[in-house]
Amino acid sequence: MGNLLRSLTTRLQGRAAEAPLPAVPRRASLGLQQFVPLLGEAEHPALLDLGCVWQATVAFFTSAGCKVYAEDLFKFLSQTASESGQEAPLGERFLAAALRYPEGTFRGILAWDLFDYLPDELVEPLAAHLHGLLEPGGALLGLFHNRQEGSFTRYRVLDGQTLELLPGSLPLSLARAYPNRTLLKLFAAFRSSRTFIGRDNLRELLLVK
Amino acid sequence: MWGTKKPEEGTPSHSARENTPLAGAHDLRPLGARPASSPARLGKTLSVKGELAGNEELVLDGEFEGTIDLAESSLTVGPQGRVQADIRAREIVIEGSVRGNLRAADRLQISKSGNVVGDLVAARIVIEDGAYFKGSIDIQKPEEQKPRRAEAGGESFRIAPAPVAAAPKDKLQ
Repeated sequence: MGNLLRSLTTRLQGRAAEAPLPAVPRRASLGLQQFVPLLGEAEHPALLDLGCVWQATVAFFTSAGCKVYAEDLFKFLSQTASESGQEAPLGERFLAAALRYPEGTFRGILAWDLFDYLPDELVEPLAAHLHGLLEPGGALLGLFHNRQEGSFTRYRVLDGQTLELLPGSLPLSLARAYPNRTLLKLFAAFRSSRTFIGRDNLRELLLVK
Repeated sequence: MWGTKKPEEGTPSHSARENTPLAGAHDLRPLGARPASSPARLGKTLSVKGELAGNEELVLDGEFEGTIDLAESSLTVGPQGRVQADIRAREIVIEGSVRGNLRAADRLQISKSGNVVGDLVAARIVIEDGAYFKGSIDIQKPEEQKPRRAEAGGESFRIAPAPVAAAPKDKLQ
């Protein structure tokens, strides 16, 4: 009996060791594919990543010659929104403490799906602020949900045209799903915009200043 | 008998020696002295302000505020370490909390427990999943770092006197 148990345990352990790690969901990103060449038009371009810092994302962009700035606004949003006893409105507190860079600093901004999680009062001020942070010709890549459903996800760059989707741990929920017309109006200050519609619940919006 | 024999002074206890190789001549050192290969350590109950410079490996488990210059050596900020300093070292590993600008001639690593706010310059950067980082990352190979220092008036790495808390705001000025 003991031998049988030991044998079973060994087999199970062996299978566990051999079992491949769960695959990280991926999605092809036409927006990223067209975003990357826009960075290359500048020498040592500055890139601002508003999501979680990932080794893979940093390695991809630094190997392309970028200086990468990381500021996790999802985490900051989560912290700021949960602060109690604050008299100043959230929008004021947010922009007073985050994204303190001179105008025209960045060649590219990865906003991911941040706008889908913003409270109403922050949407327009942040869109205007990000526009100001880009240099002329600079690009912003954003993701927007088609429907107000789905859990909080982090995005990681695997290569120049592929994103990995990882489950996020922050207590954030989607605030809205933007109609296309609202998005175009929100980012009207940009010189051009291209929308890429995926098979999943995401649209990619590539904006060029 | 075995039980009555006292261990020799300066040697590890019997249990500690069980799985260790026999001591060589290089291990004969005064009581309390560190072996040559073990890093210097700032313990977790210690709090220090000032300038720290030298040429040996250092592990910071306590609090430190000021500047750190270990150009030829490595620095590890342990999980309990809390540092507000601009740091220059050959290799930097952050497992604790650091606010300041970091420059590593070779490798800079932020472990999953690490929390860094500041600007990073290094030849290689490793950021483990789960680490928190806010600031900029610039990859510079050693040959790139030298000319840039020369351009700045021949100074070696200059440690900015600006308050660490203001680093993200001032990073591009």
